[in-house]
Amino acid sequence: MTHPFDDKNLINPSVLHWKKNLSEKMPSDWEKEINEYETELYLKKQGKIEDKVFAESRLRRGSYGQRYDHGQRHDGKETKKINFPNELTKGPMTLWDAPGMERIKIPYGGLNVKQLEVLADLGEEYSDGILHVTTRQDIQLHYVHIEDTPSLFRRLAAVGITTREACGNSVRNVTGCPYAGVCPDESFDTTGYADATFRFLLGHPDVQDFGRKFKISFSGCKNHPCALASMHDLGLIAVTKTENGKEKRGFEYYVGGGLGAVPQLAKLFDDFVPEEELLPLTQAVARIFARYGEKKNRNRSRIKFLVSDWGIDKFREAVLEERKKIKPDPRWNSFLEKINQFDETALRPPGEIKQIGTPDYLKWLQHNIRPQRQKGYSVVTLVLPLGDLTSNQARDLAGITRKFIKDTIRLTVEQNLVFRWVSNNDLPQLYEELKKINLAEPTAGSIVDITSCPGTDTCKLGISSSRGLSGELRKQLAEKNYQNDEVIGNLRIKVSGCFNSCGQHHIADMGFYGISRKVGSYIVPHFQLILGGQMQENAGAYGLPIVAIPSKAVPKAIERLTGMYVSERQGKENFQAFIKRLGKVEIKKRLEDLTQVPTHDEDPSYYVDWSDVREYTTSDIGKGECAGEMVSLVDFGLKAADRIVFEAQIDLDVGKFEDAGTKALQAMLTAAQGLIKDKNPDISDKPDEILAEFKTRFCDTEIFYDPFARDKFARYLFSFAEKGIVGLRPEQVRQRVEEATLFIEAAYSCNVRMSMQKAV
Amino acid sequence: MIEFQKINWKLHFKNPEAAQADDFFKVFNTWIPDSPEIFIDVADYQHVRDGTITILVGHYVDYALDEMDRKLGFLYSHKRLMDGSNQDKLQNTFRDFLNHAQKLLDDSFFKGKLNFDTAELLFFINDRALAPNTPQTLEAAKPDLIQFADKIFGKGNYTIKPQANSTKRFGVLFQNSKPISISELIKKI
Ligand code: SF4
Repeated sequence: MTHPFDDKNLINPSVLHWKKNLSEKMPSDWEKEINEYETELYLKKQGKIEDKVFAESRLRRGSYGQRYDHGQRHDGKETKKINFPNELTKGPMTLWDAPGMERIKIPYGGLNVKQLEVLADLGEEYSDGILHVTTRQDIQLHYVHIEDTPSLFRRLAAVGITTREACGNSVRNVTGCPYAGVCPDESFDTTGYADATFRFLLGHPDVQDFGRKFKISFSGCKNHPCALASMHDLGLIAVTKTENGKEKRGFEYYVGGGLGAVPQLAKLFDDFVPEEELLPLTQAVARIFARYGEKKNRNRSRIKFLVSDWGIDKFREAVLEERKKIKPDPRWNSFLEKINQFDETALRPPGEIKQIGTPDYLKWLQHNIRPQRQKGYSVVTLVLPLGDLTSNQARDLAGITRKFIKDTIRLTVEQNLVFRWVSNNDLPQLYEELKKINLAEPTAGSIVDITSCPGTDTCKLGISSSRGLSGELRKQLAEKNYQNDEVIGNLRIKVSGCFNSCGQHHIADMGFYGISRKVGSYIVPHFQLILGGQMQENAGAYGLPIVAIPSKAVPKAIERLTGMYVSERQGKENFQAFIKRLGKVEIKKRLEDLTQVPTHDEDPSYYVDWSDVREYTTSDIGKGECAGEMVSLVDFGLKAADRIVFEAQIDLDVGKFEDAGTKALQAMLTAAQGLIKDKNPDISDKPDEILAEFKTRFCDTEIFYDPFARDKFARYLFSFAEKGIVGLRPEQVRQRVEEATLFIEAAYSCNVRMSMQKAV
Repeated sequence: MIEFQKINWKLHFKNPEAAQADDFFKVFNTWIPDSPEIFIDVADYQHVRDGTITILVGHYVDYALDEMDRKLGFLYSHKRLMDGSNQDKLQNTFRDFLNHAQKLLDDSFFKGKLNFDTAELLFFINDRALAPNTPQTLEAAKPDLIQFADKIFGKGNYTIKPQANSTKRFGVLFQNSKPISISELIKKI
C-alpha cells in the first residue's frame, strides 16, 4: 500500500503501524474521516489546498495554532525569526513545522481508564508530557506536530474518542455536570441526553455552516454551578413535571448565552421541552443559526447576537416554524430506549465516612469529598493545578482507578477531575495513594483552586500571563492558608489571558483578564479586575469590570479585597452583596495606589510578566484561530472533490482501475454538489438530483461555463455520468481521471467568478 | 532488530537541591536567542509533579528539567525522524545530549554547583509503535544497546535493567560501576 507520506522526509514507520493495526478498532466512519484528513494533509504539503481551507479542516479536527506559529518570538529585546526547516504553511500565517495545540473533546467530561492511559501515552509521545484539562471538559495537548495528528487521531478513535469538531465553526464539546447520576440535588441524570446530543450533532449536515462556534451544556439542576448553563449558546437544565400522574422528563431550554467581549446570559426559550423534543428542537435551532447567523462580521457571529437582534420571541417563532419542516429522524428518540445504559455501579461495597486522620486528611475530606445520592459513596475531587496532569500521573491514576472504582471518572469545568462511586470505607486509603502522586491537594473549590486559560504560555491571543499569575496566586494564597479561612476560603478566582474569557472570569468572585498598558516608553502587563460574578445558579450573574491592575500588583489587590471583605462585611453578607454595597467607585478608590506602575528604574519587575524572564511585549500576539476561517460549504465540497480525485490517481498508479473510475465520477459529482450548495445547502447526495440541479442552476444559466471553453467541462460530467464506468479500458479510466481533475479546476474557477460577482 | 527513533536520554543530578526550576527556566531562556538550533519556547510546569518541570521546546529536540519517577534530572527528547543505523542514532543523540549537559555545567548561572550522577543513565524510545515495552523489544534492542554501552562504559563495567512497568514506554537503565565525568564521556563518543 502506498502511504500518502511516501516522501523522503516523511516515511514514518509508526504512522503506518497505527494505520494498519488500529483500522479494525474504530467505527468505519471515523476511520474514513481520519484517512480523508490524512490525504488532505498530504495534499496541503504538496501545495494543492488553500491555506484557509486546510486551516478550517484541521481546526474541525481540533488541531489548533499555537503561540509563535507565525515563526517569530520576541526574546525580550527584539523579535527574532524561528528558523523552521521549511516555509510551508498549514494555514494563513501558520508555519507547517510550528507545533500546535490539539484539543480533544471529552463529551460531558466522561473518561474511562483505557482512555486515560491512551491520553497519557499520547501526551508523552506527541506533546510535552502534560495533559491540560480545559474549562470545557476537553483535554489539550500542546506542542504537537501536524504530521503526528493522524496517528494521534487513530489512537484516540481506537478507544472511542474523536477530536472531530473540537474547534472551528462547529458544535464544540457538549459539556455536563460531572456529578450527573450521583448528585443528590439533580432532577435526573443528564448523561444520556448529553451523549445523544453529542452523537446526533457530530458531523450533522445542519451544523456545518455556522458563522462561529456553538457550545452546549447540560445541567442536572437549576442552582449549582457544575455546568454553567447560562453562559452557553444552548444551556439545558433538567426538569420534570407530572402529567396524568406520571413523571415526565424535560429541559428548561436556554439560548444565546456567552462570555467574551460582549457577555450575555442565555434567554429562556421554553420552560419545559420534553425529552423527545430535545434533538429535533436543537436541530431546528442549528438550522436557524446556520441560515440567519452573521457570517461576515466574526465579532457578531455567535448565536447570542442573533437572539438579541431578533429578540427571543421572534427567534422562538422562527425555530418552531423550522421545527415543523424537518423530516423526522429515528435518532431523535431511539436513544431514549437506552437511556439507562449510562447508569453506573460501584466496584466496592458502601461504607461510612470516619472523621479520623491527619489534619491534612480531614481538610481533604472537608474540601474534596462530596456525598453521593447513593448512600455510602462519595465523589472525590482531584485538584489539578492549572488544569495540568503529567502523563506519569495519569498512568498512575489509571492504576488507582482500577483499584477503587469502575470507569467512573469525569473532568470538570473547573479543570479538575472527579472519581465517582468511591466507597466511603476507601477514602483514607485512596487519599494515601493520591498523595503519593501529588493529587491529594485539599483545596477543591477553594480560593486556591484557581481556573486559568492557557494565556500567553501557548495561546496566540494571550495578552498577559494568566497561568503565570494563577500559579503565583496559588502559591501565595496557599502559603497564607486562605483556603481554610472561614470567610474567604470558598471565594473563587478565575483568570483569562485576554477578554475572550476562556478562563470564565465573568463568573468568578474575583475575575481577571489580561490587558496591556503603555507606561512611558514601555508596555506593562496588566489585568482587568472583574468583581461580583456568580457561579451559582448555573452562572447566574456576570461580574463588572472595576479597574486595570498591573500584573505584578494583582496578589496585593486580592489581599486587600479579601481583607476588606473579612473586616467590613455585614453579618453573613456574601461577597457579591458586599461588592454591590461598596460600589465600583469606592472599590476603585481603595485600590488606586495599586494601579500605579513604578518607573522602570524603581522596579523593573513590573515590566516582566509572571512566569517569564523577558521584558514584556505584545508583539508575540498572533491572529487567533479560535473561530477558524470562514470557509463556505462550496469550499468544503471542492476540497472533498480534490481529495477524492487524488485517491483516484493513487488507485490508477497501483492498477485499481475500477476503483479509480468510480472515484473520478464521485469526485466530479462532489464538486458539482459543492457548487450547488451555494444555492441550495440541502442538496441531497443522490447523483440524479445533483446532475439535475447542476444542469438547471449552472448549465442552463451558463454560470459554470468557462469563458473560453464554454460547456466543455460540464460535458465531461454529463457524458461520464451517462456512460458510467462499466467496460472502460485502463487508458479510458486514465482519461476520465484527467477529465475529473479538469472539471474540479473548472468548479474552482466558477466559484471564484461567483465570489467576485457577489463582491460587486 | 528494531528501528530506533525518538530517542530519550536522562541523567539524574547528584545534588538535586542545586537544580532549581526557576534557574533552569532562566537558563533555558538564554539558550534561545541566536542559537543554531531551532528553539520555540520554554514552558514552566513547576506546579505539577512526576514529569517535566521546565522544558525548552525545540523543533528537533526538547531539553527538560525532569522529575519522572520522582528523580530529578536532565532529560533529552529527540522528536523528529532520524536517518542512519541505530548506532549512528545512539551516537548522535548521546553526543548532543552530553554537549548540552556540559553546557549546563559550564553555565555561570549555576556557579559550578550542578553535578550529574553518571552511575545511572536512562535510555527510552518514545514511540510505542516502534518499541512497545515488551520483552521482545528488549531482546531486539539489546545488541545495539550493548554495542553502544561497551563503547562508552567499557565491557563488563555496566548492567542493563529494563523498565519494569509495562504500561510505561520502553526504556532501560544503564548502571555503570565506574562513574565517569561528562567531559570524559564526550571524549568517548
Ligand atoms: S482567554 Fe484569550 S488568552 Fe485565554 S485562551 Fe482564550 S483567547 Fe487565549
